[in-house]
Amino acid sequence: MSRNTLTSRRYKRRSPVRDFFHRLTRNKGACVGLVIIGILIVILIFSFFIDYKDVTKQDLSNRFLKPSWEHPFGTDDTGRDLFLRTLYGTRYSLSIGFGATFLAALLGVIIGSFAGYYGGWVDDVIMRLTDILASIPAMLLGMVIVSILGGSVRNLIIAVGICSVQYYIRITRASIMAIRGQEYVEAAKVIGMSDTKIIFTQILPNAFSPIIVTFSATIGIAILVSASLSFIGLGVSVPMPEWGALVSSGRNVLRTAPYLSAFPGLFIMITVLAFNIIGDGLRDALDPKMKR
Amino acid sequence: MIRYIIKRLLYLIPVILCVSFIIFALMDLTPGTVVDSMIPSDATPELIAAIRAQYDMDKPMIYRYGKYMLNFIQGDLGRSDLSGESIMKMYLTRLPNTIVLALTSIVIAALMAIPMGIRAARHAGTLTDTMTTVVTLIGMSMPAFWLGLMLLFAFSYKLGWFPASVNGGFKSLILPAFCNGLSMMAGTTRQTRSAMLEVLNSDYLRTARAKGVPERRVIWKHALGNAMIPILTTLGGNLSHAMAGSVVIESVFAWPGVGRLTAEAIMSRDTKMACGCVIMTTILYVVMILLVDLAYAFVDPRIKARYIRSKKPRKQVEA
Repeated sequence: MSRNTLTSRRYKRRSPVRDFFHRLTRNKGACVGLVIIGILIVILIFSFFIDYKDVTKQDLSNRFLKPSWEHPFGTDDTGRDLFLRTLYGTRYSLSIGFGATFLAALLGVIIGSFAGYYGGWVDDVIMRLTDILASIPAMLLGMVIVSILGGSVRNLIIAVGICSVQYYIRITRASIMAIRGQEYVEAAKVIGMSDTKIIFTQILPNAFSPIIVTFSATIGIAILVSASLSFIGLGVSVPMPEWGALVSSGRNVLRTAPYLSAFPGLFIMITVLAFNIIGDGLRDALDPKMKR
Repeated sequence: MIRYIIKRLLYLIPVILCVSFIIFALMDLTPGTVVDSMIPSDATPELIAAIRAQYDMDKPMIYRYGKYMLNFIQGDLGRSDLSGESIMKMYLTRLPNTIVLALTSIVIAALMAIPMGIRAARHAGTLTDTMTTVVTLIGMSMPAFWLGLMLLFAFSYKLGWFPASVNGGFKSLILPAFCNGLSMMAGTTRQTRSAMLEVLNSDYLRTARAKGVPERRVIWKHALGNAMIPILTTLGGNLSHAMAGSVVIESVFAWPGVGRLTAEAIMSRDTKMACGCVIMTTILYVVMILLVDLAYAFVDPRIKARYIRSKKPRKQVEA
């Protein structure tokens, strides 16, 4: 027992994962971001105890109440409590942000891996198709897809995911091209591994840091795009308290009740901000060369 | 150079064909088109067939697409299903508004971002730098529509400095352009900062200082000139996005640009209009990207040399 602790102390070396966490937690900004995301997750869990009826309950005697202790964010045109609605809306933004980014990453990494690994005509075809996808402005593509599929959380995830898939294809392809000629890849080929296995067990784990950085950077964008789609009326529809839709519904009474738009927008901003600073921290932690 | 431009322009043709096909197909396959809604509920099968034949709905989709593109080449995108006006004409009347907004906002963004980025890079690690980072992070995280509404509330409703409607001429341009510019500013400032950081410690700046070039000139000419490519990339990307019509900002400020036209068409299920708008905007977008690529040549003599080299091969020096 004592010998064990002795040796472990003497040979205490950080694994790359621990080293990464060490560097990430040393970054003050990233810590703040992680704390904010932590709080949002607590809010998310708390919001599951909010009854949907309370969120949509109309109380016409309490219309347009200014923010107070009883109603911290005020009440809207039908007397619904904006604070509850905003808290309840956390699930939409977070699930669309994560869902869309995850979908984009999954598709993009798989497609990009094949493009980067095989090169040649496979690469040509995939990259030309990516160029075409990239030449439609993201917001327009999102609008077209949502208008066809209809506005719901699932469809927003698909639309926003398709819009950001090109980033993952490009970044995965580039990082795989950089390492596909390495000796260990050759070695894996020599021992008879299949191409798919080489890509997923040998190459991808070594090409992962730019993908993670892209992931954290695009979550913020995904949340913004989905909120914008909801804002213009194409995303999650109004009775559901999605943040973008909340801002939009406060818009008609902006002159008299600006808080109805201000608070949900503030929530969007803080959430995106948290993901952005975590993204910055991740980039610094994963790529010491880029640390400025 | 001209050969390169022609090559790039030719490359746009397949891109435009593919994009228009995708958009056309997506719109065409959507259930509940206007043609379907024109059919009365008590229509006989013959009448339904006649109406569908009138709009070529009985022919395969590829036939309709081919017909659509043939008309498009002649500058005709058809007529709006709702208003019956020519789509091309409606688009082109809205386009100048979008261009004015885009150019004004990019100028505002550049005027704020470049000095801020340079300042942050020169004072890297100090409070100024940290403040800039915080400001740009907040700027990047702010939803443009929310910023727009807040600006509208503060400067239009409360202070009354700017009109809330678009008929106020130049004054009504300021708020949307400022809002758009602020959103673009954040990314550009970050890019300027990191591009400047890369060149600030270079030998040629030391040489310039050593030979007595004033500091202002060192920064603004020698350093910025070499850091310009990534800055231009960011600004160009922003400009092409803005040219494509910032749907959100145009809708917040009721700005009559192409973005709003597209959004309205999509919302009202005016399929033809939406399809035409999306195709036109995509063409505009890819042309803008091409122009930005060409602009590199004017900023960076090395890139210009690469274009010209194809004409007159230079002697390569073997290392």
